[in-house]
Amino acid sequence: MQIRARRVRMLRQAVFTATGVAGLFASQLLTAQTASPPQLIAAAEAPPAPEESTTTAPSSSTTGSAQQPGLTVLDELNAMKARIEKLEQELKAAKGETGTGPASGVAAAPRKMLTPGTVDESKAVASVDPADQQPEAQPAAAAPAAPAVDLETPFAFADFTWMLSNSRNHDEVLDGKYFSGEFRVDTNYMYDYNHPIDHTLIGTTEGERTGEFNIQALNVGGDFHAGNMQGRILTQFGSVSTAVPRNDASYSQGQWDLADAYRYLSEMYAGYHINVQHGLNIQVGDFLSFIGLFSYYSFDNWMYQPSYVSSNTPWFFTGIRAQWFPTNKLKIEPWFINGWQTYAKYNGRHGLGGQILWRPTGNLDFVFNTYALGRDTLGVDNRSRYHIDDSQEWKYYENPGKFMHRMAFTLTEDVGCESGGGVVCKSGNSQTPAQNFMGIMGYHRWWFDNDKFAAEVGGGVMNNPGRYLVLLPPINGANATSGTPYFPEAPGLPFKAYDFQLGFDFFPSQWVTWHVEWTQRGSNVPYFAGPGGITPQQAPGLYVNEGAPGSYVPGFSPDLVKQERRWIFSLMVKL
Amino acid sequence: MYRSKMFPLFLSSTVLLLAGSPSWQGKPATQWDENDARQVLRNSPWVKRATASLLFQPSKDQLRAGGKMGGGKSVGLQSLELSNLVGGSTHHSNSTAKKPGYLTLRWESASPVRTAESKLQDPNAPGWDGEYYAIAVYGVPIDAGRLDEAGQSADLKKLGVLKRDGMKDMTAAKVEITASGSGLATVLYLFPRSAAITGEEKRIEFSAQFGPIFVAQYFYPGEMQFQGKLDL
Repeated sequence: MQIRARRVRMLRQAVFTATGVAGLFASQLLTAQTASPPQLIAAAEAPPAPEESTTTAPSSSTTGSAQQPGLTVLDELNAMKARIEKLEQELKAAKGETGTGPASGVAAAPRKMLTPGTVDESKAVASVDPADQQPEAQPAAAAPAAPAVDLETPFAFADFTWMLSNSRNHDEVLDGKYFSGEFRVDTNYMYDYNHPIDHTLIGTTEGERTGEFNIQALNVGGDFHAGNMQGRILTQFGSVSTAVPRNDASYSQGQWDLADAYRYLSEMYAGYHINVQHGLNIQVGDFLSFIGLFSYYSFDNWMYQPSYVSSNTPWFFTGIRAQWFPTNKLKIEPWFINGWQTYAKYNGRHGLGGQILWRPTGNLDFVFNTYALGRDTLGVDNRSRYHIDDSQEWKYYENPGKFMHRMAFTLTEDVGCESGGGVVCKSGNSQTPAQNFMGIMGYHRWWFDNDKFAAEVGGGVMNNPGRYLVLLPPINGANATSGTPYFPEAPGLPFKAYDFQLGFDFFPSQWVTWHVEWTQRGSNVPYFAGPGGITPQQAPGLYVNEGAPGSYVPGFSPDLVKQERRWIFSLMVKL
Repeated sequence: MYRSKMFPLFLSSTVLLLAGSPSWQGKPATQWDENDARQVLRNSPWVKRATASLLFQPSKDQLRAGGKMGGGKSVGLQSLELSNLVGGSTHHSNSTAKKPGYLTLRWESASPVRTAESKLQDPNAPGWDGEYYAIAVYGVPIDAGRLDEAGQSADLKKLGVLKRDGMKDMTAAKVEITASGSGLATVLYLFPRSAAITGEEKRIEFSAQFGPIFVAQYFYPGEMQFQGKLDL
């Protein structure tokens, strides 16, 4: 009976061992079949293995044990039991922190061979079906959480297309490896309730004619970028190519007509990117100024007619600047430039300035601009200009599920003055009057229907005794060089003004804006074009300039009024 | 009764054996066959798959404001439609785009990986000179990752990071990009061995960014052992 019982036990052990061996064999066979993509190894003959730096005794794995001579079936069984216990311990351990880590490979049978370099590009990143891409070694849950945004590139951590002065398009139609093209068209039709007979608009650089269709600006160009090299060129055709350069008299000093040379280029600079911290750029040429917050390009703005602290302050500088990004939320940008919105240098001293741009979150923007030391008055070589311009933007509401889904507002404060050459910054008198500038503007925008519509309201005020930042009315063709006897700009002369706007936009796409705007402006002295216009009448129905630009015309008096009300209709495209 | 006891035992033993340690672990590397090598490159402590995330892509104007040129989300001229002038086209929300995909990471400087690559004559296996911790990311899309732009390796170097608990992050000393065909590339990150990694370290996080593509994964030194020794 005992012998029979012993035989039964031995038989059980044998069967159990056989099943284990069969299972082991099956596992190896299955592993081999699963991991054998013929395309990878069909022609691959195993090369000589590299020399092993370490030698280790065979482990206690079943494979190793099975190859040991002289082992009995019972030994095999004991080894197998030990192996099972070890595996159970490993499984328990795998349920801990590293349960989804590499140890999970114990339970995760691979589905297919991963062959590097054969993954389709679209599947690698964007359009892969997760169900078709079972992780073989590492379930995604074990991976570190990925950031939702790029934390290295400055100001790339959030979407700032909502901001006033930022283009609102997300996608580029002309972006390439070495050149990113840009194309802009800005057209308008302005209805002026003053109905000036010569269709002339005064006191703004965003519109020159009324009662007519007008091509305000046409820009073609883009960014060149190859490695660390940078270059940007953007042409400017249309009304703006005469309306902006005429406010700069610096080119009249000396020879070579830089106004003619540069007027058809709104941006032109070369740059070099240095890979330090979050980036450092050195750029030389003619670049845009964001003093006054608004972008030079109307497509980027909430309103078509900017308030005075924007329209009367520089749109561009010529010189050299550094853009230093110590963090991805901060830019420090010093300038060494020819002057205050000048192509050339008026007198003997350059201007210094700079910008600090800080975006602590995706909803906030702070910009601090400073200009100093430039001597920017033609014929007065010892009068220096100083200016501070600060802006804040806050997107305080965002709810994509709502019809009215976003709200934001901006504030801009400007303070400046001139000193020397017969004027002082403050506390002046009749002999040396104070010549300074103070202004503020604010705008608010609402977005509707998933960025399909927007509405805006805003405006501002300014006070500029001495009128050094008042845009000279082009009476009889006057410009910054000629001046005009009909609206002198000289120390002690007052100028105060206000404006406000109501706007509405239709955005059929991210590249197109239809805009309608009501704007009203007023001043404490006659400044805006009245019904009689500002152009001499040579004959009935003929209004053309006479004599030298800005010269006095006997018997002629421009029709200047204190108030202006306009409708602005605009179609703008930016690609 | 006998069958009812034996069947679960058979099943459990079979399952456990199927899920057991891979065969390469119990053999010297010189005895590996191709199956062993494939297992190392597919499922071992030195080889991981990681989810690749597509980060939010700012417009080129926004990038320029941040000092960079190009790199916007190009959609091509074909995206322009006549309806854009009169309305009715699609609009773009401000939400960030994140679609998952997978990239493979290999701790290349580990001898099991090198041995397996050699055994399989892997044509995409990178090479390098010097003593480094080497980690390669396979299957990176060249265009989407902007890998073919001059000067890109400088950004890659800065954005290839090994994070270790209680220690300063380690950035790559060198980055090498090798095209692997089909518009993909292998990006090799070489980290200095000056701050040696020990087997006592719980885990190491590797992260990298290629243009708007971000990838990160953990490695566990305690498990990256071969023949009883830490092998990195």
